Amino acid sequence: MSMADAISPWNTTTSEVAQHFLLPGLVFAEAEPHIISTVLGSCVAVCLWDPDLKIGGINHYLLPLWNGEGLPTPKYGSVAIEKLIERMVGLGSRKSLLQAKLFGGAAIIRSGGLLNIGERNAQLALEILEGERIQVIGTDLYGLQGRRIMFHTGLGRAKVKLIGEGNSAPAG
Amino acid sequence: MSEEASLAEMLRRVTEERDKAEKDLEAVTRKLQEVNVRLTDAERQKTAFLSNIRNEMNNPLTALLTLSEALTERIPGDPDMARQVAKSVLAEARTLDFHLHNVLAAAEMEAGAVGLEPVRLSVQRTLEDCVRALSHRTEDRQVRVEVDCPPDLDLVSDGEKLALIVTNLVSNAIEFNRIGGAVRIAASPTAGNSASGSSERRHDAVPVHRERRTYDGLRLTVSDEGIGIAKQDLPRIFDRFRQLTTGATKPYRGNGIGLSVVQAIVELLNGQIMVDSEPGRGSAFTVLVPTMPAASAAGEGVDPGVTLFDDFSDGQEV
Repeated sequence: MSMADAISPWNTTTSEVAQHFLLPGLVFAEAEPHIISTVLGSCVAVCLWDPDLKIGGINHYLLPLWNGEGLPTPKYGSVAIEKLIERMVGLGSRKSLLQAKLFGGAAIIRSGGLLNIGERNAQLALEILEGERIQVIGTDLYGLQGRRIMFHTGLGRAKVKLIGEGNSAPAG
Repeated sequence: MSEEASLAEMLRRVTEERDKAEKDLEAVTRKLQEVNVRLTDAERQKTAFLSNIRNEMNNPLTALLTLSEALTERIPGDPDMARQVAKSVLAEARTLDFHLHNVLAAAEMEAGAVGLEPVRLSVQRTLEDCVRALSHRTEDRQVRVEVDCPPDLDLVSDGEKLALIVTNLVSNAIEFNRIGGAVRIAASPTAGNSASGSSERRHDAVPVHRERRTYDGLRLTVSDEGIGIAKQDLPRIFDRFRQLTTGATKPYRGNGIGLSVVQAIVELLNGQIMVDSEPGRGSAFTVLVPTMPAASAAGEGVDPGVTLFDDFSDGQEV
């Protein structure tokens, strides 16, 4: 391992930043810095970063809109994005300063057309964030492969790695 | 082809495309109307829930206040009477505790701020604890509860979440049972079986999730001998605040939040829930809960088989 790797903020064996694996359908936003990891297929994760307070938050949703079935949980993008913004504002962020990075939305099940959930998940994030006037500063969306992502909530930096098509499809 | 004929051909094609677009638009509009109806319905259910929950929580609280007042002031001299009153206090407190747990779980789930704490737990002990907490309801309705669970069956899962699943299903099975009926709780391990390929399932089981998964976890079935659920009502039973009978004279207790909480927890635990019911004969709810990876040093639940935090050196920064 080179020196650069050893001091990299991503090196979780040397980093003292807490780590958390984000399950599908949940929202994470805390004042303390964390390295959040999650696995995405057709799901989308929205990472919000407040460059002023140096805090960040992330969600991981499976479907675009709640249609009245079951509980309106952050399993649905319309709920998940709203909740994430709420949590950031609750931590003291000013909404107008927030910056977003978006990941996921792959076409894991190749049906295409109106039924491409990944694409609809990604479109929804872009639309809601535009409506909320939150700047999107980075994206890695669509495609045919799943992704593993890491988000450093204390630095606002994100890393993404594609999951090979030969591997088992991720649940999210 | 004459100019006239090619114009006619063009017109025909444009008309065809316009018709197709109109049909597509109609389909989309119909979909939106359906969703609109559902959302309006959901809003109405919420209003009904708020007035219902007032009773569900207020009644036990009023009883608690009255009973504990009696206990402290009026009957200190009679130990038998005091024991009776204390028993009622316990029953009312448990009812209130159950409702609060459900409402708080729903709020937690809707906020997406759910923490899972995987621990190794004895399934039998979990089931028995849940049944004990509902003993006042089984007495009231003269229902007997049978637990069929291998004593050595362990599961790594979140104990509180699992208990909430069991308590809700068993509470419903008691509440909607016939007087003097039986509730059966059957637990067994699922070792790499296809979740929906089991021969135990009756023909009309409705899988809420259609995908098949491999399980290494728990299969739990709670069945009753109650009123059952009509087939056309099955898709609605997991909706929030949904009770099939409502209104001032509704014959069953509860607030219609239980099954929506159960479903949300099961999804969170990456499991499945299925229901099998026959009106007049009873219902059977089956839950499949995969075992969670044991708590890591940090106490976080981490997916097995994937090393989630290392090997990002060749990852791309965005």
